[in-house]
Amino acid sequence: MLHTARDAVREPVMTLIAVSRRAGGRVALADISLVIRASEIHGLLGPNGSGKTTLLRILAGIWLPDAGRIERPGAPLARIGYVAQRFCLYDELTVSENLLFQVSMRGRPAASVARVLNEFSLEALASRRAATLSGGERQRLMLAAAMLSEPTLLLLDEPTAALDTASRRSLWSLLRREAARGTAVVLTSHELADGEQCDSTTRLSEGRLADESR
Amino acid sequence: MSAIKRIATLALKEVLQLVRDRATLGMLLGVPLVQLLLFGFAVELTPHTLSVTIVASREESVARIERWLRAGSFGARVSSAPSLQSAQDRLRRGETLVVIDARAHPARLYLDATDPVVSLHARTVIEGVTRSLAAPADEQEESTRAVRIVELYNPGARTQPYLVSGLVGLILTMTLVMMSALTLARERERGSLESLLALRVRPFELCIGKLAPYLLLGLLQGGLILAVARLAFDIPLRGSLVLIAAATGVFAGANLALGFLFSTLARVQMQAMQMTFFFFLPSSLLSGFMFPFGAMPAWAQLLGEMLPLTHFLRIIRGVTLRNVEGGYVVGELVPIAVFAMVAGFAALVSCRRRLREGPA
Repeated sequence: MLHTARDAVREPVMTLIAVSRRAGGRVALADISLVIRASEIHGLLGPNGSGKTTLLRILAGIWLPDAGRIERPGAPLARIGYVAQRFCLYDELTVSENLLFQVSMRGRPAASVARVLNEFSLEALASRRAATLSGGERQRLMLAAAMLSEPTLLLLDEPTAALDTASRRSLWSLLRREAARGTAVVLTSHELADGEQCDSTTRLSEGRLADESR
Repeated sequence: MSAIKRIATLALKEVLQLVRDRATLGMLLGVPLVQLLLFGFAVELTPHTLSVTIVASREESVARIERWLRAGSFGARVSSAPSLQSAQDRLRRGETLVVIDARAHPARLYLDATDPVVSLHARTVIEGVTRSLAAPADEQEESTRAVRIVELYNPGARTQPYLVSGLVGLILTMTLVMMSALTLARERERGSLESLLALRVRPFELCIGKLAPYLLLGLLQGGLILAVARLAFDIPLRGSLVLIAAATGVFAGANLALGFLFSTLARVQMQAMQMTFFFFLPSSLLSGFMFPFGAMPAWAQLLGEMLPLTHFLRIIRGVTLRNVEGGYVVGELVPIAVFAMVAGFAALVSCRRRLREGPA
């Protein structure tokens, strides 16, 4: 009963129904069904090669599934923020130039840059080239870029993998803040400790759904 | 002993990497083979044919010169023109190499000296023609004994005007194909393609957005090379700068489109570089940059006609040295534009496929 009441508050923003995808001649994902809800931090857990990144890229719209259906009642593609595992912005550009590029490509107002610079404490680094940033600062920059579209769904691929303890703590507090604002957060991780911080988890094994918990 | 074992291990590792990197292996085996075939079969230093246009008031004069030319050890392609003006127009357009004005007193021979190698060869032939024209038994008028040779477009058959003007095309081919070939491959290698995919970038946006700056760079580079050529090597600029700029724009577009196609096919920047080199080799050998185009066998000329550089060299040399008109430039631009469209279309199709595949 309690479960139902919580779900009523947490509206589904995206639903995957029997999604499958092949990659490199093998099954990367098989028959995955998943509901992503607003205000919830959902963890996609599993060992390397289990299909976490494939699933996240399908959620982000980077890849299309070979089979199955995706419904996006609360997360149109334009309102999805995506943070890749590798730093995927431009080293030659400064922090603010990287953000301006993202804003312009998304067709969002340039004022969003000032907002995220402030929100992610990047103002002091605004004129620094991305190449000169530390790992934690790069992570913040990628998060800031993802938040430019004021996403209803925020996707993060192994966000804690390269962070020290303090940066991890800071990241989790930021993700909780976003979830509290109503954003659905989905992250991948191969660490059980990350799963414990999530509101719900899906465990993948060899591209198949092994376990779900809420 | 330990060091020897480690060296052997390293060498074995290199062999395994080399054998498994098919693109590099293909280049290592393929490039020498292409070089061998091109140098061996396609490249000739002296033309076997000579294109001559005769302007004469009497048919017998044309027939006599033609007989002599055809009796030579080279293949002469002889035609006649109704007037000196139309013959010289053909000379300017590169359709003929020599114009013999048998009506003039003394007779005049106009030689297109743009290409020093070809014009040197032509001079040998011309000397024979001169002797023929000067034979007193054949001509009634004594004045035909003296023949004046006029070298046009590159007096003294200097090497620099011919080579340096051609370098504009060669340098643009090398730099633009290479730069655009690295674009998408670099995004993929650095991981930023993932970010672009998350931004739902479309293939044509990616293609045009990435290549537009290089198009401007190509124009700037072309202008810079021409300016230096003019100042440092005293290369003449007899034709229209607007024609050169327009031709450079289309030529740059063709090279960029091809480079972008390479970029969509290559998985890493190294592969893109290898593809660029593979294209650059026949471009430099079969385009007429290094060796006379007309001296190559027909099959090699056919291959050469497919290369944008071949047509651009004709344009740039034609405009700078011979002041060719717009119609000539447009005629040579058509194959470059067709190449650009085919390469561009193939690049877009390949880019769409690559984006669907997603990041590495």
